[in-house]
Amino acid sequence: MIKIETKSKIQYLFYNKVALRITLIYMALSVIWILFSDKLLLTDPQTAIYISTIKGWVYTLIVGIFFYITITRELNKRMQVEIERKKVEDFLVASENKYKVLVDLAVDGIILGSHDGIITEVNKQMCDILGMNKEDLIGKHIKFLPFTKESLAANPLRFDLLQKGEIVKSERTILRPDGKEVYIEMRSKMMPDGTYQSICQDITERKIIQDNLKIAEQKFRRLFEAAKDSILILDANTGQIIDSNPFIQDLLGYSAKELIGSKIYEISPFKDIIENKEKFLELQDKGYVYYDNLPLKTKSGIVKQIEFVSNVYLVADKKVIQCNIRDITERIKKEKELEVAKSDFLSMTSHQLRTPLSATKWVLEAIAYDKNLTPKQQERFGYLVDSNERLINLVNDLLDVTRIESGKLQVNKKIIDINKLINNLFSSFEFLISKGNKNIIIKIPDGLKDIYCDPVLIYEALKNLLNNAIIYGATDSKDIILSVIERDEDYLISIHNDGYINSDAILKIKDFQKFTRGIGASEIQPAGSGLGLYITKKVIEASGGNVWFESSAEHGTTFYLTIIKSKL
Amino acid sequence: MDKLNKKILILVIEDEEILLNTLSERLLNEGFEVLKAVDGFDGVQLALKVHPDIILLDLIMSKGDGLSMLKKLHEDAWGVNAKVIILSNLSDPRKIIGDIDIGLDGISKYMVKTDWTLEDIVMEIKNIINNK
Repeated sequence: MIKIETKSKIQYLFYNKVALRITLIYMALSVIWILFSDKLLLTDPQTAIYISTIKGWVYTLIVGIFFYITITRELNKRMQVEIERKKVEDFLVASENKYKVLVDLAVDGIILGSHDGIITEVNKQMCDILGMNKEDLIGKHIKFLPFTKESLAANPLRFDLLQKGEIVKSERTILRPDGKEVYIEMRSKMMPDGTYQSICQDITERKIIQDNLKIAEQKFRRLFEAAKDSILILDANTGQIIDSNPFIQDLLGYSAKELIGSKIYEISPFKDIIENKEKFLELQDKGYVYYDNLPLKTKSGIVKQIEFVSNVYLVADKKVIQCNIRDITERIKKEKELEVAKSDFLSMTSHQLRTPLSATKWVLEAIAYDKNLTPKQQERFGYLVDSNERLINLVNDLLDVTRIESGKLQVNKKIIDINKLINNLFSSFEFLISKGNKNIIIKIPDGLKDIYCDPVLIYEALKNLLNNAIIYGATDSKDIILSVIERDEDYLISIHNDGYINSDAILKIKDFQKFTRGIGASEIQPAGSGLGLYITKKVIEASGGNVWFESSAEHGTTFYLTIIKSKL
Repeated sequence: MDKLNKKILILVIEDEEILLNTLSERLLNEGFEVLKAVDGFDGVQLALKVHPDIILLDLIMSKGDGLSMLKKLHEDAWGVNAKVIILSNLSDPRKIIGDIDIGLDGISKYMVKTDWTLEDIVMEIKNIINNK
């Protein structure tokens, strides 16, 4: 706009000078023509006067027209300038109004101040933040805003920095006239005309959240540092240790400096757990990993038993892995002690319970050996023997079940001669076999001798199955076939008899549940406890094998069990 | 048979009087010569002194347990080859006798008392004697 005005002045001056010169030249030429035209044209004086007069008028008219055009153009130019100026003024007024509206509508509070710090303007938002009226603020020095003493002391007004042209950012606390405390963030700057402008934000909520976060972080930090668990925080992408608590430093014998920044799979105690990067990536993918009772070698070479739990979670869009490592050496030791105590208790209980039962058994047998009993006494005596046997079986089975259900069934595998084990088994059944008039057929492939298994558990399972085959097999069936087949992965042992289990009884015993007996079993063997098949299943499963049976009227009954070929 | 049996000396080591007497009486009736000991200390002394043909040994005894006696026997030139039948009411003897195989090696037989009759024991003794 200023440019246009400058140009019009120049044009004005230019046109003015040209017009003046042309006018003067033409006026001079007119006078010359009037005075000397007659002489110059050599006409009579009267005609010359006429001619010169006409010419003079013509020239004067031309000059007049020229002036008219020039002045008119100049006036138009001036009017144009005036219109442009008016437009600019209107634009400025509109801009000022827009600016005022913007200031008033601004989300942030705005304070304008004079060069000496006196408030000249505040917007509505600022009044709302301060809880004060515009009239109460305008004209006051900015230092009289209701800042708390503490916040002003911590963050004083810095006119010196503003005068250097810096943008000053500070957080202060305001105690409003209504007693409410608000936190504001002020950003101030000196304008080119020397006035000041401050933009203020109410950050009370943010501040409260920040304070709470800070408290939470402090609490977390205290927990993290006081935790009796060892904790490592890892960058989930790189496996690098970001943080470690003092407890893990004690556990591993490494300082925080040695741990932080290292990659977990490069630290020797973890090499057994996360031996390489691939394993670490697996840990990262799974999200949650739990290892119980792992050995961990500390820096000083001491092996500790640990429990390792890791979780992957997001912290500010960044994946981290938290590893909690608990030293369970003491717990394992206690558990072992408890286990020994429990095991000793079981052994002693079984011993104490069996002693009077064995005494009864042998004394009854001794009485029967005398053969001086009447038939009636013999009958009653038989009841006593049966009752005692029943009690013995029940005690044996209950002790087995207790051992199984305590979850601590020990599997002690060793190389045994399967022929010897089966011979031992049959020797303990000789009486029962001869009493039932059974014919035992053993089929073991030639050359098969050494089997790697727990002899006690396999013996227990076979004892139960053979006992069932002898007692519950059909009375007219004589043959009981025990066969061993070597397969790729395991040995299959089967015990077959010609009797069969009816479909209702199969339903009852198919799952090998405890205290479940086949239909009619109680009539054949009142002393049965219903625990034999359950014990068989549990001991075979504990050894890593399976047990099942097939039964039909056509093919008789066969119970199978497998002994897996374990590595030595 | 009787003539042969009379030569057989059996040492029974058992701290339960009823069991000791019942078993000894039956063995005598079967024609064996029987020596009795009520604890492991007496038992091992008697065994090393008289060198019985078969020792019937209880494990859990109030004085001198069977395992200690077995160890002492194994330290003796005769004792290391002695025929021993363990008669115990412990169902998992591994806890007590450690690495010694059950019924397979080292010990002639491991018998849980409640699971065996006196007749079974006699038969077992005869089996061992006949296989000697």
